[in-house]
Formats: sequence, structure tokens, C-alpha cells
Amino acid sequence: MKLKSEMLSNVLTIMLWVLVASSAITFLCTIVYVIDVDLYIDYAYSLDGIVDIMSRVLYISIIVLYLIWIYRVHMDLNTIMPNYPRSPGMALVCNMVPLFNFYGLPSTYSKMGKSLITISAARKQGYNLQGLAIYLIIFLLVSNGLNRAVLNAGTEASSTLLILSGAANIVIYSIYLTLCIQVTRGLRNAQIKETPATPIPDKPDWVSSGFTNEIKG
Amino acid sequence: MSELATPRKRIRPEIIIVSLLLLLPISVAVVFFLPRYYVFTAPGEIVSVQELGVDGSVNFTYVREGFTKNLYERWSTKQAFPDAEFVSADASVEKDFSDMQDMGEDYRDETIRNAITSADDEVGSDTDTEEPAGEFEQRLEALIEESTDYYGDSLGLMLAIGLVEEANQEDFSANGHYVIAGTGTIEADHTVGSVGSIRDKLRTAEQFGADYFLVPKDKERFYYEGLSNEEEASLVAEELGLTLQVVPVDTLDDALDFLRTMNP
Repeated sequence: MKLKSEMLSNVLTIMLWVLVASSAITFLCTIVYVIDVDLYIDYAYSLDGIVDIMSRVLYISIIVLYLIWIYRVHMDLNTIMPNYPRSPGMALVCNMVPLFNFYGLPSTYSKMGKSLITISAARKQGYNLQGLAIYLIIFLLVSNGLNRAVLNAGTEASSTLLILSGAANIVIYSIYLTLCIQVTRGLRNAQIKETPATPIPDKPDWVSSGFTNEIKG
Repeated sequence: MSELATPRKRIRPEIIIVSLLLLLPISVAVVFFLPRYYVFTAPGEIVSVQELGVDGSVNFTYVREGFTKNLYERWSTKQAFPDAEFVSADASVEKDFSDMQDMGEDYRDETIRNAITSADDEVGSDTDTEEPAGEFEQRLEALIEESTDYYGDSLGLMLAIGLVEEANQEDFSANGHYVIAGTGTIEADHTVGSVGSIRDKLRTAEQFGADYFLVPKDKERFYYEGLSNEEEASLVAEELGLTLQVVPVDTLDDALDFLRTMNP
């Protein structure tokens, strides 16, 4: 069985890598700005501007991709584990509805982790997802709060606030990237475990039961 | 007939999708960074003459002016100054602006010099005392040093009023009861000269709660195209429904007379 989310997982992983890299460049530019404004204007302003504009568009593309991905991941989870407790539609609601997503977002990965733990091949990814769900909500709140503070402060934003906000953005994007990688690996491992590697052919009449046992053994 | 099968390298679909998706932010970045020039003006602040080291209560008004080289700079300027107004320009604006800044510094130094002499004359006519030449140069240098963040000569009138307040120990704000702001150059003959950006200066003064705004009374002697400062100020005040009172003044004496009548 081919996973419905496989190709999208690969695309999202690459896009998230690009977003992490661009947020790292923005962070470096912020450090230059904090150290010396003139140096920033001479050498980093244009680069920061280009990366800023690209990141904004990239971010919107990634949100759209992410929602499609989480939907398809849940389609796969429901196929692999028929008793999986969350439908693809409900997963979208959990990720999209404001305020409710404070519970919905971490619970999506917590439930995913809990279910993958029951499959021996995906146990490691299951534990990782459960652990990451806690960091996800903490850093999501921290980075949202810091970004809002930077926005409200405008040109008066302090150096510490700018650096903290930049660092929190790198962390939150890295958490999403790690989640994406872990979900992809977990699903792949769970799917391999669920699908028999090679179907055992019906034994021909002339094969003795003893020989068959030998092959199986 | 035998056919030699050459293995064809297949590009993974993920790579094609990612490349197409990345084209979008790259294209937007290219559009935002193509050279496209604009000049802008935005409301600034009213600044107490005390910031220049003068013990007065009045405020001069500055506005923000500049140019942007592309859509990104225009967008980020708009983020920083939401009231900024932009006018399309061409590449020559970069040089024009640099020249204007240089000239603005000369004009500023000139108006500071005139403000000191006008205030000295004004105070001297009351008290019959004259400042020694050494003290004058020292004061001039100190004021120029304090005003390096600003260019242009529109702070002259308010600086002269502040210097008179300082010398006569007067307080036209009635202990902070009134917020008095204004704009206009001060010329060697004590007349108040015309300046630019009247609209934005009035918006700035209104934003900062000014009660009175002094402008050059230049209707009869405005040599440039368009409306004189006096006419423009009156129109803008009416159009924007400003609560501050626009006070046209012809000379430093004129301004001082008004302020003293206000505080009998």
C-alpha cells in the first residue's frame, strides 16, 4: 500500500527546511542590527528584506501544504489503524479553529504518538511525537507572544525582544520540521509492518508439509 | 535488430513541485526589489526647544521626508509610518535628496545664526545689553551641535522665540497650560520666511495636542508656485477640521506680541 501522504511529506519537509534556513538568516541579520545599525544598513538590509519577503510568501504556501498534509496523514492513519481516534476532517478542525487549536494542535500529535507506540516498528517515532507535542504548544505560545510584542513595539522594539523573537521563530519552525520528519518515518514504519513483505504463494501439491515448514522456519 | 536501452534519469516529482512552489516567493521578491523610486513625507514630531539646550517652552515641528528605492522599502516605510504619503519619482531622486540634505544643513545653520541675532536684538532692545562676540559663536556652535538630527531652516522662528523666553525668563506656555508649536525660518531682518510640508506639520502638531500653531504670514511675499504657507495652513485646518489655532506671523516681533497678548 502506498501512503497517501508520502509525496506531500517529502515536499513539506523540503519547504520547512527552506523556512528554517530563511529564519536563521533573518536571525543573523537581527544580530547584526542589534550590534551595529550602520553595519546592518550597509550589508544586511537588502538580504534581510529579500529573505523577509520570501519567508512571508513561503509561510503562506507552507500553511496550505500543511493543512492538506495533516488531512492526508490522518487518511493514512485511519487506513493503517482502523480504530484511530481522529478523522481527517476532525484533524483539520483541531488545527484550524482559533482557541480550540491550543488543545487541538498538541493533541493531534499526542494521539498520533500514542497510536504509533502500539506498533513496535514505529514505537520510537511515537514516543518522539508525544514529547514534541508538549514543546510545540509551549513554543507556539512563546513565539506568538514575542512576535505580537515586536509588532506592537514597532520601531521601538528592544534588542532583547528582537533576538528572543527571532530565536523563538527558528525553534518553532524546527519543531514543525521535526514533527513532519517523525510523522513520515512513523507512518512508513507502521505501514511496512502492516503490509506483508512478499505474499506466500499457495504451495504446490508436490511440496511436502515438512519442506514448507523448513522454508518458514 | 537489437536496440540499446539507455536508462533515463527520472526527476522525482517532489523536486518539481518544490521548485514550482519556491518560484512563487522568488518571483514576489524579484517584483518587490525591482528599482522603483518614490519620495515620501510623513508626520514627525513636535520637539521642545529645550531639546536644543534652550530654556524655553515652545516647540518646533519636524516632518519625515525621504525616498524609497523599491516596493519593499516603500512597504516597510509604510509599516513604520502608516500616515506616510508617497509620490512616484525616478532614479535622480537619490542625488537630489542628498543635495537637498547638504543644502538643508547650510540653511539650518543660517537660520540658527539669525535666530540668535534676532533674539539678541529683541532682548537688547528691551534691556540695552549685548552679547559678546565670543559668547555668540559659542552659543551658535552649541545649537548647531544639538540640532544635527534635523536639517532645513524651519526651526528658526520657534528657536528665536525660545531664546527670547530664556533671556527674559518668560514662559509663553503659562506653566505648560498651552502647547505652542510652529514653523518658519527667521531671516536676518527678523521676518518669518516660508517653509515646506505645511500640511504634514499641521497634522503632526494636531497629533501632539498643540493649541497654537505659528506659520509664516507670507501671502503677500510668496515667490514660489502654489499656495503660500498662510493660505495652505488655513485650508488644511479647515479641510481636516483641526482643533489647533493657526496663527500667521510676519516677524519675530509679531509672534512675540501674539504670545504676550495670550498671556497678559
